[in-house]
Amino acid sequence: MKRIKPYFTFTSNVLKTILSYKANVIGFYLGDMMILLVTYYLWKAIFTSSPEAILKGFDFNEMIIYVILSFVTSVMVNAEVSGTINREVKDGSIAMNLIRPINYEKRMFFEGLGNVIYNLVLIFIVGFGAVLFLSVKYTGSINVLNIVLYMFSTALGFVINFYYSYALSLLTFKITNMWGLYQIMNAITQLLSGALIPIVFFPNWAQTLFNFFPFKSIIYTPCMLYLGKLSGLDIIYALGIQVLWVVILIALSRFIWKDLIKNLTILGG
Amino acid sequence: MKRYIKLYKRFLQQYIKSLMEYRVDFVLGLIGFILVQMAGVVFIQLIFNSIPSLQGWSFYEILFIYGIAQIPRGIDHVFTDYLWIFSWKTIAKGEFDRYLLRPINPLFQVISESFQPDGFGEIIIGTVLVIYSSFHLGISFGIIQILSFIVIMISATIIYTSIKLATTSIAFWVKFSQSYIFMAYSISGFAKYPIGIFPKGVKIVLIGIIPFAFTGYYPGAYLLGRESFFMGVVMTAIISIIAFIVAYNIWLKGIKVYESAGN
Repeated sequence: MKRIKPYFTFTSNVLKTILSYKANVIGFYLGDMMILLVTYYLWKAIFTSSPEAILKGFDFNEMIIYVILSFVTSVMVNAEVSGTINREVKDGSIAMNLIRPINYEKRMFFEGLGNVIYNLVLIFIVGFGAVLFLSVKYTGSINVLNIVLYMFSTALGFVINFYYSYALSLLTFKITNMWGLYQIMNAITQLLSGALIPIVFFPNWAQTLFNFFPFKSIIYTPCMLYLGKLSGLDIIYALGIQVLWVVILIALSRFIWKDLIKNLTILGG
Repeated sequence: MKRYIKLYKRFLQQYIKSLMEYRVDFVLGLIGFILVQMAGVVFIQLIFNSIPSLQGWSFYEILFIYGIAQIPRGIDHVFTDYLWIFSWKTIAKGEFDRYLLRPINPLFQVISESFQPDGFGEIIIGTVLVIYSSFHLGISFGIIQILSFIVIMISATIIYTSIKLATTSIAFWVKFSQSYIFMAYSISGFAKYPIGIFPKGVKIVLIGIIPFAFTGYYPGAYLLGRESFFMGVVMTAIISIIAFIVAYNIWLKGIKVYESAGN
């Protein structure tokens, strides 16, 4: 615990920074609400146009819960450290971090945690509240086990997403237009994580292919657990895959870090 | 006017030089924006695997409107992308003073700050979708359609720019306006789909308040023969003129209340 304590300062610093831009942040979330609204009406039109009441195992109510829940989950797992890493690499201030007795990976992790705490208060409580409300309204009850599984799985999803975006951001050392690369990766993660549409809508070959990427474990797995779409051994299997990705991505990002630092030259100072 | 064209040309030459220097960046940005738009197309494709039509609209009709909506968005993106930076930086850092000192229109100076080739990603994907779906729908483009198409693209781009300009100008009052542009831009998501699937309140906003309906749905549906020439072309042109006048006046008003934040 003693070894981790100093890092909480980074968490509280991030919190203070975002809080000072409150009005701006709220504007962004109103924008997100618009996008959710478009999605809602689109699904409504889709279900009324469909000859069947159930599409790929989802009825309309479940789909609406999925849309809100996948949005809330994507906000919760968002570690948002890439901006800091890009800036520090570009202006060379990362050099200061390297001479301090601070582990860069840990520092970033705790900064990411600051974002999570902020989103937890501002978005998650309201968003997840809405999900629970709809669940009760549609089915008359809530499943506590599924909620616990969802929370646990989302926490794993955060760790996976953190290490994925941390490893990707480290590429700033080599690539100048990270904006372009982020756009590419954003498009890919949107589809592969289930944020845009549940993965069951993809053809079978694509679903098989997606198993080889970590993105499905970030959003799709927690949401399917909440909706009770997985049962028995499938639950353990899905959580096991998440843990596996945590291990793989930690190892990968440490390998990239070591390799970069060995060859790092910083100009000026 | 001549002077402005000459200035913009000079600026473009400079820009192209730096583009040559960072070719990889250019390609990455382009692929990025193409892929982001492709994700939306994949969504539509997956949906249509399960349903025959979306409230009377076929797969290719939806793609056509989607494509039409991307082109003006891309053109605006190429030319006025600096407004995004303006919204969080120029006012907050007190950089606006220097635009006021030069004997050139401040808005022109701001827009000439950058030229964003990433936007070609949207133009390319939009064009490909329009051609691909027209081919499948068997739409033939006569002289009237081609002229309409040109008017539509110019007007729709002006609507995009106006909405961006109006929301950017909020920065004159509150320093940061990035989130306002984002909010307005999120509403453009409605314009990619048939307006009939949305409730009345949303329709009123899209037609009369933040007129994105004229950047995608109405022009696209007119070319498909499902909305009138009046709504698709005449109204699009009229709305674009009104939108620009309103937006430019907000901008001018903003300059009047501007107080430097620098030292």
